[in-house]
Amino acid sequence: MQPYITRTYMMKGEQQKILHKGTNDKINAFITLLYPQNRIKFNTGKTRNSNDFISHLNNIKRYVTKRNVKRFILVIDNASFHVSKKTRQYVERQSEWLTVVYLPKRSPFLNLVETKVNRNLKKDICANYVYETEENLLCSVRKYLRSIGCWPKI
Amino acid sequence: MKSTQDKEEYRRAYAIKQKIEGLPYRTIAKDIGVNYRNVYDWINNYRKFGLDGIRNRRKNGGRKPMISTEKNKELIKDIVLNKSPRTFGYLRNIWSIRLLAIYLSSILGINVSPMQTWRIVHDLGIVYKQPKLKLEKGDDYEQKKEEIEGYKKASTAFLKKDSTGI
Repeated sequence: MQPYITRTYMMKGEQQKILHKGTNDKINAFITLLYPQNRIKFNTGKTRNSNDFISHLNNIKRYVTKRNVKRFILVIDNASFHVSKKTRQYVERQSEWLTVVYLPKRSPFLNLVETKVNRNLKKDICANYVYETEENLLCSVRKYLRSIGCWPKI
Repeated sequence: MKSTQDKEEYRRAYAIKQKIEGLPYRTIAKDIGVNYRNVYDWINNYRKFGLDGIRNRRKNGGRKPMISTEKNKELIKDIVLNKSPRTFGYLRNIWSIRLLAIYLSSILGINVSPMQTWRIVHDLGIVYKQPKLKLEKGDDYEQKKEEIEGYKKASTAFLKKDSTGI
């Protein structure tokens, strides 16, 4: 697994070297922040299609029906699997409980997941550390997202 | 005289130098701006103890440091350079100043501020900069490299033949 690289502490005049074995596998995660419940819902997997996004929405539907929530407002950015024909047809079918609000194009600073979760996750867990297997990475990512637990106020 | 950075030590050494040249006590005292009795004392001390008689004795004054002792400095250097925060139970790969301050205050039992930890880290000569990513070479690295260079030589030879033949 090829690590993401950021700055660290080292002695003056020396440069630390990080060894890796040429593979470049990736893991994807769908993350939603629930307000005002102060919780995080996430799904992890290898691929990121509109099928994976719909299965993630089904997970949220199970959570919503348990709590008897009247209406769920979802704010998402314009990623290709959010805008595709398949997901739009799914959203039209689920219009009883779900409304979707799209953010304007090319504005990641408005996306709270991007600014409050992804940045810290990348810095804390993915940086400067070579994981030998995918399971180790998945385990640590899940542990981190559970440890945040609520709406991150950083 | 040139080696000292203390101004009081410099003054005494200057007085002794002028005395060796043969000036009287009172003119030396007037030149420096002190009473002539002080100059007597300095030169008497110099005759008794040599250069140690002039040295400033007020070096070890003030309150002793609680956090930035040499023992703690070695501990911090060992932690920052060699150990990752995962070994102490934090879910992180990289040390930050705030995390270090929290960890140090849990070890030492004193409230350590982030500013103080930054000062210690800065004095140790540790800097915050980008590491380099490098590919780990396997056992069969050199064999494969020879094969690829062989293909390259063969391909250039073929190209030359084609251009001349047609």
